[in-house]
Amino acid sequence: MIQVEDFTDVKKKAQELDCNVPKTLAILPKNFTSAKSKGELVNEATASTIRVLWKQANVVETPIEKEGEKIPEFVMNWLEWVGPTILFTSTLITQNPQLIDIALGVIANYLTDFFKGFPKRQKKAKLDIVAETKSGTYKKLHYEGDAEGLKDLPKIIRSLHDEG
Amino acid sequence: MKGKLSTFLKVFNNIVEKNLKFLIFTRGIEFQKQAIVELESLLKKTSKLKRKMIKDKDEEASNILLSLENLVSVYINELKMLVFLKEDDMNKAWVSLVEAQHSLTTAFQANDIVLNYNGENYLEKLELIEKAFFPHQTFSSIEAKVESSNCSICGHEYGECAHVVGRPYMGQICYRIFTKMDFEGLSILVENPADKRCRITEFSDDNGYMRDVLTWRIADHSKKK
Repeated sequence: MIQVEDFTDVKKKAQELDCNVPKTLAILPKNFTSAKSKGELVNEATASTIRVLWKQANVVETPIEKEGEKIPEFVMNWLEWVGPTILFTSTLITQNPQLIDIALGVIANYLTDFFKGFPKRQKKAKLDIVAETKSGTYKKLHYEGDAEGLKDLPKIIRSLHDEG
Repeated sequence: MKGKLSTFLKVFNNIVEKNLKFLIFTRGIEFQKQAIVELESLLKKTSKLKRKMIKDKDEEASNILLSLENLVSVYINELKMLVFLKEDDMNKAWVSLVEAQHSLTTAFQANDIVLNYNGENYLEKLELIEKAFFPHQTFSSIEAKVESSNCSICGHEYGECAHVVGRPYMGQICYRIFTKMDFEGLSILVENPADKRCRITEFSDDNGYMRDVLTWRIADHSKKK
């Protein structure tokens, strides 16, 4: 299942919260749009795992956290895999589009292994992706499905960018 | 596959094959209890060889043996579930089923050898048992804000090291040890909890008695009121 909707102006919101403005790829906290201050921000519990996987695949993130800052993670003891919100900026989509495939491919490969011990109906991931459009607005894509389906997202992200 | 492990696998397969025939409800409880004893002995042997492989720094063999350890735990817990069902101890039967499911997930995480033992179908089998033998249940789950957590493999701050949750490393599955967290709440009506032992065990009936969700019996503490 894929749903697309408008998303808040990431640059403006990051500045309001006194965070770094992401230049290329970043993980956004789950309450990024609703948080009133930096102290309220929380990441999904899977955020740090995704960062390790990206580091191992030489995928460089430009985090919203400033040097030495750490955003807590929200843990729920559920079996379903809820990924963090991933931002792809317009700069990345136009100048380094293959990085979208790599960043999501790494997650898809991880999930393929992760889901091996799960019954079929539970092999489902939830993930939000925010893409900056060429006009500078932002679109959020909500994905719910299996690991394989993540590999179809780069094409959709690029078209969201170009349509915007 | 290397010598020691290959030799062990022959013994392992023989013992497993001998005892799998008792993983059927209608088999005599005395045979099922004996099968548990034999499989617990096999589990000890598997763990012993795993420790040797860890000492020899043979990561592949260690992870294969971790998978086999958990596979034996699946069989043991499934047998225990059958025994508890027959002994009318439904709460213990439920816990045994959940532990069998959890062990199977770990067996998959550890190594693909579990596929040689019909692992994929086994997952579905345990799901079917859950649906056929137990009522639909309500689960709960904690919610917490984690400020800091350590890696179970190396002890460093999770995310700062190269280990990844759910992956096997030298006979151990990586998990996070939460070292600083704020409890945020408890959610109920969770459809897919990570721990199915966290469940609502009693409900109030029309007469105000508390009844056991699994057995429908009035709870002892409720009778005394």
